[in-house]
Amino acid sequence: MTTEVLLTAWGNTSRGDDALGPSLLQRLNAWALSSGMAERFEWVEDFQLQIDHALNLEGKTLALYIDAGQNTPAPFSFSPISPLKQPWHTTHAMPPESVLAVFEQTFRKPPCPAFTLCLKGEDFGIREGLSLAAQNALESALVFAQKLLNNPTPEAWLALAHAPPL
Amino acid sequence: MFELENAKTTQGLRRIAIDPVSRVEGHGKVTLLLDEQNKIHQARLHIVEFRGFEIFIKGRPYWEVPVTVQRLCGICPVSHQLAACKAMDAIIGAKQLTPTAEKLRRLMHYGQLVQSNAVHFYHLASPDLLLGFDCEPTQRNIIGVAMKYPDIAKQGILIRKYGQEVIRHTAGKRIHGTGAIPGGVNKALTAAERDELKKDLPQLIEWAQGGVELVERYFEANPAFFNSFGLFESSMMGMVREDGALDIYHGDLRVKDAKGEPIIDRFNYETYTQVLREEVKPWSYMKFPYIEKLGPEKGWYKVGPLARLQTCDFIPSPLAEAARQKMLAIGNDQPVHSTLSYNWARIIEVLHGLEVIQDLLDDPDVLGKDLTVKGERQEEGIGVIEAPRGVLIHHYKVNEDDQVTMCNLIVSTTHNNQAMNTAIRSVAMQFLDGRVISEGLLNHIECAIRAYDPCLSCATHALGKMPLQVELDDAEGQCLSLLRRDSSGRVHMSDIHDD
Repeated sequence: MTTEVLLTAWGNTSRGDDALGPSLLQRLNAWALSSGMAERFEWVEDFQLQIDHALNLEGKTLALYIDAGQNTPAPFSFSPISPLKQPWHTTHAMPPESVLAVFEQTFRKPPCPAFTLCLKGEDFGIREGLSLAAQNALESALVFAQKLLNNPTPEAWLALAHAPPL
Repeated sequence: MFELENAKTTQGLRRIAIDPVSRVEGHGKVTLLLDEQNKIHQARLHIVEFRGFEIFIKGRPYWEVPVTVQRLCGICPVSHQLAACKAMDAIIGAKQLTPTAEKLRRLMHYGQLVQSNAVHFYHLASPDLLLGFDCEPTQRNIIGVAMKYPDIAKQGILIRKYGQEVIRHTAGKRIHGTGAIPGGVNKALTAAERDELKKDLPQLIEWAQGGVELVERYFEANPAFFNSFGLFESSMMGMVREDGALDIYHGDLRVKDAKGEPIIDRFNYETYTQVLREEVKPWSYMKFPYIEKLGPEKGWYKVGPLARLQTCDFIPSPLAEAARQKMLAIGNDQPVHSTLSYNWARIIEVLHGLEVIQDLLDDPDVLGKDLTVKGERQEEGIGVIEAPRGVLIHHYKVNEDDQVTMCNLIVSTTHNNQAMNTAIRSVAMQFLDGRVISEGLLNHIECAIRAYDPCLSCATHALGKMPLQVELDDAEGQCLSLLRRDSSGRVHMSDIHDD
């Protein structure tokens, strides 16, 4: 079976709510496995986004980037993103828009439609485990993300992006 | 006292802060104090060192530590894993690993070197080299390179990807790998995995040679600029094996002075507490390591690619050694100290890493099944490795209940603290002193910082993001105007006070 939909989450599980992205990806993966859907998607987890994540976009029809956010809408926000030609400036971090731009410029073709799911975090200190607010955001986002995976088309996701989160 | 470390007075001076703002704790910033003629009186790189990770480690079982410390850095988690494993080897009395275990760890580590240096060279450094400092700042990045030089950009991505694949096959997975464990490794390499890794190597080596030639061409076109940019002389520290060759996995530490003469020809890293000291300064949370016998003012040093290529007697792989000789030739029998040479050294190390990986994959030991050893249990262990950015020290004490009771980490960025401050002062004097402040000029300072690619995550023992904020303050620290590069890379400028 071809995996035409890319799911990428990143974050550090030792930095409190920074673990929101990987946590949601793991919960989603467990749910997708139990419902026999996991093989429809490519699952990517990392500490940070990097230039080689552009390679994961090759052959995809849809991409979802999942991250924790600070001072972002609660419990989460979901929106389409486009290649951004003004990317990061260190080797230690890169926004998803820049990954799309690297793909576009390297492969000389536009990337697939892509979206971000940003879960609001509260506490990014060194510790394991999510804050209570982040746990609530995770539960809300999980229900929402299941809707996304149940209908993985750009049109359906765009309609959800334009609707209120919950 | 270092020149430009402390202004004689702050009266009548303005302050500029280049301030990376982190969403997690731990960040750094550059501050400059200027007078009305924009003459620089003080330049400092401050890094808020956040030692929380050492506390986080305390109380954990020792065998868990090599996995946990990978979360210190998203770019070189393998270096932390291996340094911790080497320390834990000592804890469990594993004095000599099996040949298979050591070679698989080396394979993992050289994969790490290749991927990290490739990201740095192609993502951070090559835009400066290929597009020039005067290029539109927003285009001075991997995307700018991709637009103008698509082949180079793609090669960088694929070399990085290859390094990640080496890590995946040896560590079990790309992140949170568990391949290296105290006493050896827990995963053998299969013949299929070896063959897969061997397949693309000739092409990758050719690309890395192209990268080396790129820097050589850049130097030939701009020798005066290349040699003078951010130039300062300093001692250097790096790891060497018994015959003096470069070895990034294991060996003694060697310190040379700025003229290339040995200060300490070699010392066993397990004695580092007798050789190194760390100075605390009131204006920075990050310590300043130095060679104790020379004192803080003369005993500081730099680490990383440029240091290790000049502390070693030779690189034990032919293509990289030939490239090293070409780089050394620009010094006319003196060590090379220009800041841009860091990028040259870094791509030579990519080439070296790929050559070593090729040799290791040709070695039948890497397919062995004898993976672990152990010996008499000890209470204390020190593991040192050459991470991509330089010497990395992990030091632990473990009690009889197998819990860590003490953890001390000295990371590459901390070793380079004084060197980075000196580089910033050099660039500030060269390009900013007495001139109008602009984003382009400030990029020169960023470039000097980029050469070291400080890992603020490691230095602060946290993982964070680093958007840049530049403040123009008066001497009292009141913000007059603000230039901010946000998380998307966009630059915003605003006046804070009308007066």
